[in-house]
Amino acid sequence: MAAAGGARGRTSFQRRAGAGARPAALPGTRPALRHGQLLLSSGLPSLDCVLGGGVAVGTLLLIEEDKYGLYSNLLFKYFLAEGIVCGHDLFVASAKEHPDNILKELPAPLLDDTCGKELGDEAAAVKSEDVQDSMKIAWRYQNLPKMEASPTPYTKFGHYYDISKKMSPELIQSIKWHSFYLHEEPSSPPKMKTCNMNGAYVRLLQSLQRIISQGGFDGSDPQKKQKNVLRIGIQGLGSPLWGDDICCSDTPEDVHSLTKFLYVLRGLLRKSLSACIITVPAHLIQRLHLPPDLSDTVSRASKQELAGSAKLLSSGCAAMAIGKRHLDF
Amino acid sequence: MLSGLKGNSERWAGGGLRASCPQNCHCLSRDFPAWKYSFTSWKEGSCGKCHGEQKSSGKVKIESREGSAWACQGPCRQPCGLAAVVGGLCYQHCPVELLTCLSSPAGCKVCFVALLQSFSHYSIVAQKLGVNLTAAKERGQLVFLEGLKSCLDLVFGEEEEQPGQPNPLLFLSESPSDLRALFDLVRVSLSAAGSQAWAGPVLLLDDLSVLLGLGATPVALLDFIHYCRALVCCQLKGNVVVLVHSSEDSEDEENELVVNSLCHHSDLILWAEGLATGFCKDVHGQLKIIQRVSLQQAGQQDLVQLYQYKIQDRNVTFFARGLSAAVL
Repeated sequence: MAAAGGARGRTSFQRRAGAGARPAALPGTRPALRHGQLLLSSGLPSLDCVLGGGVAVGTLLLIEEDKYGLYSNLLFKYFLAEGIVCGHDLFVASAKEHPDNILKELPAPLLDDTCGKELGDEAAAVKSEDVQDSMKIAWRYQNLPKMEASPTPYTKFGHYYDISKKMSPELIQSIKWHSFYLHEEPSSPPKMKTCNMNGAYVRLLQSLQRIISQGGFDGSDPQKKQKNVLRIGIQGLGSPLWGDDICCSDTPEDVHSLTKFLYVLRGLLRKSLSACIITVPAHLIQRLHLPPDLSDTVSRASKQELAGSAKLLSSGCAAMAIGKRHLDF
Repeated sequence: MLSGLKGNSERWAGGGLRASCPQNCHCLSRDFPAWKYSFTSWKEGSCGKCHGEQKSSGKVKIESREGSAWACQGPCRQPCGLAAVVGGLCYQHCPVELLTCLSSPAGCKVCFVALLQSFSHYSIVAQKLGVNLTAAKERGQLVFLEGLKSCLDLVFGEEEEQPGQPNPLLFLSESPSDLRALFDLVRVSLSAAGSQAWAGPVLLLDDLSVLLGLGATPVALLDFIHYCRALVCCQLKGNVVVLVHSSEDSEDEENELVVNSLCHHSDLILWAEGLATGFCKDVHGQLKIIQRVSLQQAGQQDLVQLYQYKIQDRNVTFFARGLSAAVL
């Protein structure tokens, strides 16, 4: 609503208050342009581009591990590191490595001033010439500092990390994180129906559901005003360490255990503010015969970009990209 | 684009019993497990219903909001049949939108078995097409089964269940060859009192491949489909639309079995897949429409039409091959 007038002839344009009540933005998220999904960064801005903006809240990103799990572990750690930098809560589950050790080895974020240093050297040469000219039109701004104050790096979407340095423990302690290490979990009988699923998966689901409802991520706690996002990372799902012989035997005991787990997980994700990353051992996806729908990408937008950039990926880190799938969960 | 509403009822006389139709009706001779449902018209062995010659002049027109409107019409069709929507490997969300586009405006009673996504997802998609799922649900036109929620209730729910309403996904925890509870839900929702106010019922299933992944045996799945078809197409004169996934080089034999069986029995098959040549900004995929004329009249060939589509923000535009915006 623009209203002309005012004492000095300025237009007093005032945005209509309350037009489309906007909820308080969650830290580290941004809305997708094409549809009403909230996106999180996966930790790698280039991967975000491929995924069509980021990982959508309520979905699952599935990565097939490469031969020695090198790149998939990196992606896993980047996802968790991004969660820490954005202030999200974490849930890390693994049967191979203790989650404490995983969290100790996250890459350190590159803050703006370290990035700017390289650019500053080039800009300095240009700056010295500008000082001589005084501004003729915008002379009010003459005395303001030349470099604009950089915004706090943590509100940006998508950060860069230095893999040669480890994240400082203080940063890790600043967020709340939960861990699930299979071999340390008590093997008490679960309080939920197992549905003929593997016992380890059942316990993981139970733990996850408990964290989600206690943390209020599914909106069950209306008192909690400050909502946050839960980032879930599960490492090596489907490997024999979880008690599932689906990837090492031709006639597995229960073929559908993992798919049932994924289905229940999907239900949990959809009704809560969370996003999940899962790494599965190599060659499991083909054996599993995941329905093709589960391996489609998140949205229409990301679909095209994935198809277009699949070629680029395969020429790059080949070992990982060949088996790369993306589940829309 | 769905809705190949062609009467195929000559084939459907075997519901729950070994049918022997004296009227030369090519009944299936397979014994179906008796689920204690009696389709009364068949018990007597006469398929009065399946020989109904109601040729309506119903044409189905699928219009998108702006842009090309084309009609999936043909000769007079009987308004009950099975349509299978098959998604290829690069399938996007296209058929689901068309599903919702079709159902509600026609004033049909819809039972939507949604196993793959949450209700909010479908309602957002439907809203873009101008269909309000929440309103339809409130006025009783839409019965929505949210598979994800039922699964969570089953897995994390408390011990005591309401005796009158078993969880439709009971097969997860009990025998994997029994989809009876799911069929009960469909039957109850479509035959409920007061549903005569709406036009022919529509059953939407999204999607069947998930049930296979959850442990249901292919035979149980085919039985379930058969029962649904017998109920909805023959008894209630409605339509069944089923979504499945398939790919050409799929190694999943069970899935291929179900897809092949469905394709053989469908009156209309809509096969959506991405372009074989890869990504294109203006063409998101192609749709093959197969009208199974051969089922109705022996000796006729199936009618195959090929269209390409582009998914836009609020609708889907279809065009013939070679007429995309990239070329023109």
